[in-house]
Amino acid sequence: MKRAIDIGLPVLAFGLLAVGGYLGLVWAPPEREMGDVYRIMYVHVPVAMMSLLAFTLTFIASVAFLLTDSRWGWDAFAEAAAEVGVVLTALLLCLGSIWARPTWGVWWTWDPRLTTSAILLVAFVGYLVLRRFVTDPGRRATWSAVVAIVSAVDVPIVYFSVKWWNSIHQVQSSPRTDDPPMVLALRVNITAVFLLMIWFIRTRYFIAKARLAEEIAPPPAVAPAPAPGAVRA
Amino acid sequence: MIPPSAWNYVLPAYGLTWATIAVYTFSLWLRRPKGKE
Repeated sequence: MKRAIDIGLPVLAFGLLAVGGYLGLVWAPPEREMGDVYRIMYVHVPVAMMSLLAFTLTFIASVAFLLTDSRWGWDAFAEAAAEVGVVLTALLLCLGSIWARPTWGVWWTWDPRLTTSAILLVAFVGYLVLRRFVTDPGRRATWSAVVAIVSAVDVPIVYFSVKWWNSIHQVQSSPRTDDPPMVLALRVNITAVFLLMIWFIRTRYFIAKARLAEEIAPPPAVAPAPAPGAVRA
Repeated sequence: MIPPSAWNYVLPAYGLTWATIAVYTFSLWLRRPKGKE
């Protein structure tokens, strides 16, 4: 079963990504006002959704670690999901910047959605740096779980920022606001990036767990302590 | 205003996405647990 997931999941994810690329670049029609530049949406939106989902998973794993008597698997899972979330958020901001230039006329603006997303990235980069610098596994897991929970407060703020404040960024699209071919292309790309994220987190989880096992394992070949009263040679 | 050269933005965006996925996949492969192979 594990072998089937190891092979099947990435094959499916990369296959769907290729199909999604074709649908987004070739098959979907141009948008009425933005023309072809809107095609960035087919990578930007899935990456945005999965970055928030990855940080939500980090939050859940961190809470679970603190509540379940320090199960190390949760700590490894939180680390894996946070790293994948950081990669996706960094990519997201670059994609948004590329899309902003032809549509807004600037590469970057301190808009609420952009600013809260940048704060989210900085917060979780800090989380990963903290994990790097604390060597004791117990302290590292507890401290980073607290940092993850505090940082994840920004996740709903990012999501609702376009509704709460007067943002230049558009509000979330829905199947009712897009043409059916656009919806299909978007759904294929969302599924592809979702499967890719799951595979990334799963692979990174096993790396984190292997490192934890090395750190927690007692040192091999420790000489037994001499019995009380034993005569030394 | 959308410039006529919209593809100058679309293709780099897709290229960056695929490159990021490829580089991160490679970094995971480099860090794979060695003991179980």
